[in-house]
Amino acid sequence: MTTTLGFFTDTTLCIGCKACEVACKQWNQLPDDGFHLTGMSYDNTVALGASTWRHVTFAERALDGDPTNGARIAWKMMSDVCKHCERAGCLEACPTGAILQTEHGSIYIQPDVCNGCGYCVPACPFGVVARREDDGRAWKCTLCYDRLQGQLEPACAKACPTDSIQFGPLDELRARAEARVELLRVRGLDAHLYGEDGEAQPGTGGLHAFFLLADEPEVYNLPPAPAVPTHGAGRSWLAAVAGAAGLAALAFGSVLLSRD
Amino acid sequence: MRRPTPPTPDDGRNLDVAVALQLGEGAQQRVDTPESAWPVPPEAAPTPGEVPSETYYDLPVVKAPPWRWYIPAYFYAGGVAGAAATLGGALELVATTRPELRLAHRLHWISMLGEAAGAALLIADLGRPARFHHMLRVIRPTSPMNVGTWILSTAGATSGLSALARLRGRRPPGLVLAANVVAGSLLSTYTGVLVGNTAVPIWKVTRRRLPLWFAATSAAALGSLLQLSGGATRATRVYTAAAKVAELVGAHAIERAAREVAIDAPLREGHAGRLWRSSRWLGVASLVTTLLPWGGRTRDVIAGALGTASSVLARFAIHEAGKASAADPRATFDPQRRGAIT
Repeated sequence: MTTTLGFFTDTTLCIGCKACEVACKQWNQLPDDGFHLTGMSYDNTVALGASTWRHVTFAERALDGDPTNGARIAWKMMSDVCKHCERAGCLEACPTGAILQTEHGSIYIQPDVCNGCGYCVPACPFGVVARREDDGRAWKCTLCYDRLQGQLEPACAKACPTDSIQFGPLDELRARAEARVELLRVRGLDAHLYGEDGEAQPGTGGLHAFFLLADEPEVYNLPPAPAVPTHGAGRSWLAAVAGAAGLAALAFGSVLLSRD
Repeated sequence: MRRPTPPTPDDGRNLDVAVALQLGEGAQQRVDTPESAWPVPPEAAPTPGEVPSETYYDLPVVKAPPWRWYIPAYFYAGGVAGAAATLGGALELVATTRPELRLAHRLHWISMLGEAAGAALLIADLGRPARFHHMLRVIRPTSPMNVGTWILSTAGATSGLSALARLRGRRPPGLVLAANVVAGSLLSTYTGVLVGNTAVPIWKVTRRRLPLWFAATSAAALGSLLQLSGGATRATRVYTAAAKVAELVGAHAIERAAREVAIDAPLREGHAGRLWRSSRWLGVASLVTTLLPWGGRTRDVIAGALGTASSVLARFAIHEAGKASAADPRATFDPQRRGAIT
């Protein structure tokens, strides 16, 4: 494996322009997935989906009292994306081996192998992967694998006008992120990193697309302690073997006990 | 180079088909109706006006599986088939009397047909059914669905061989029977690991009990089927009554595990809650009827019908409860905040 590459998304720099969403759609030639006006601040994209691989969230947080009575609000934007987990739930759940980890450390779904079983969809602790029903296959962000082949950064990072989305070698990004947190804390902002490494987020082994947040993860619709489903699944398999043994015991027992 | 598919004019790509090179990753996506890819299920759509503070507009965090009714139907067919393989194999290995061997023969057929129907349902539910065999291109222990495919294939093959042997009036080979019992019993239980190995909160917190419940409810479903189809022996009566008791205990254990972390709402409320409660009451009614000392064949048919309805509803209830649980962001956030899901 060459250098592990990834995203560092600094939400304090996000201005909610959605250039990343547009750049992603354009570069990847992604189709439409419906038009809805939701009334949820400026968020009409709503969630990541099969044809939406970048999604800007818009959280309105009341700072002091009731915003309808003139209290101030904080407007918090974040460009969400596939986290390319070190231990990816989708990859581990995929029954066909269609999902693999690339030489850049990113998680990629091979469209020519995916048979659309849909198991990766609930296996993702972040709700990233989705199956496009009319296409029949699961899709998500590829970390612009095709652009990386040509030494280009992913379209979203390229398009981001404030460098809220930064792309590069993961260790460089981590160092930069920690310096940024220090700076923001000195300025009095309660900033913290989300999923920067395996120590911070043992359930996923760390994210290759990690975030700098200025509020609780729930505010950005991020789970506070995500874990890949296979984390601790051994106990479940043990129960399955115990259940199977019980089923066999019931079968043999009822035949033998009914003997005269 | 792959051959690009021509886009439909209103797919939102805004490409000039005459000049655009359609080499983007998403250019391969087939589009019939753009709306079909809208990422939020209707039941999870936020109500305008109310802005909840502790979640993101009440939107789901995790996505529910995109499975249709085929999957809970498979849980029934596969569960019955697995239990039938186990009981059939047990009879072949220890039984001696003619009625017992006739019953074994019937169980091989139930098992084989259930596995065939189950496989058909699973393939029908795929987004790309023609690629079903991709499931068998790898062996992947981290994927319960992949392991389950191998279990189903083994159970199906050995049930078929057993039925074939009985058709020719012979006892199936010991190795085939042993494999049939092992694969069959696992076929009835692995589905608990399958749904538990997801980020769906109610499935994940109950994942150590779901396989046991699946075992019990599969045996109860087979018992009900045998009550319906007649030809009961003393062994099947004991088996059926014990399985129905175990099913009720298992269902109770699942409710308790979900209640401990306060995410059991889908088992009480809404569509899933109605299904689950109906299933519980039908199960109780079926057990009571089964244990009646009189009534003969009529009693068996009524108990079998009630039990079958209970087993089918229970699988649909678990499937729907998973969808409802995934749609509720608090069910994801709260247990994680309290360290209940690791």
